[in-house]
Amino acid sequence: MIAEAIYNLLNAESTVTDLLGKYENEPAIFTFDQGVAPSDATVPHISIMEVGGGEFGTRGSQGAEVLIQIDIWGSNKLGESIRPLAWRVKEVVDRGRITPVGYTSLLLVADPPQRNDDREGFPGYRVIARTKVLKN
Amino acid sequence: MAGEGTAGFDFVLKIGSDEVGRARDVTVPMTRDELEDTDRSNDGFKSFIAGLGEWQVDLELLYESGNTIQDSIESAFLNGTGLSDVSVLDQNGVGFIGDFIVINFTRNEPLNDVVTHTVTLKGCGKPTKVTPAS
Repeated sequence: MIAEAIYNLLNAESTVTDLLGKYENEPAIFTFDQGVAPSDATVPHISIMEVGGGEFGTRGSQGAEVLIQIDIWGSNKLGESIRPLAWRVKEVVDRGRITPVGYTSLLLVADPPQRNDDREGFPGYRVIARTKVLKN
Repeated sequence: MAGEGTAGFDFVLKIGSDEVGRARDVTVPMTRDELEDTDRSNDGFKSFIAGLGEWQVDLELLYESGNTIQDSIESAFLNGTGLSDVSVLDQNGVGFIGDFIVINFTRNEPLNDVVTHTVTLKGCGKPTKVTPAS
């Protein structure tokens, strides 16, 4: 539900969705567990995955610190850069507000984009975000 | 069950009948002064008797605007008033209860992390042992 909440945050931000490709006429943002996009999605696209974290809770509530991996993939055509998109993702997520189902998020921060090209030469950036949540 | 370990999240901190749900780590130091009464009969080793005892409750409190427990601790600190019937209990209701004053109410505001209070409650008088039957 954290990945879905990050999806909602990014999908509501036109400065992100205007820079994305499409999938079934929607901005290409995906939350599949496999961390991949459908083969017919156009680039640029974003994949969001919960990748781990740690303990966080109180005497009264279970909780978690969750690490979220946001991968931004672009075209391998020269001259097309996804760096502005990657930075925009970072700016939207960092200090953003999310409402995961069943939880209250107390904190959401994001690191700067890291270069993460795939083996076939498609440029990629990775933004690692971190949230602390308490169960409602 | 005897011999079973216990986690901190199973323990309960209460002020009166209200559980301090936003507490994270809690420490309950109980110490006594050491009064040396060594004499020549102690065969080269120091000897002591127990002096005055003291106890306190140290806790990290996750900040929440409008939280009534947080507000009551803050009020006790600001006004120099006491907190009555503060209990530290295990999952079976066994522990200690007593009256306290608030001697530390520090708010921690890290830039990229959650806001917490570091709280120290100083016990006033001897802790009373609590069991479920008491």
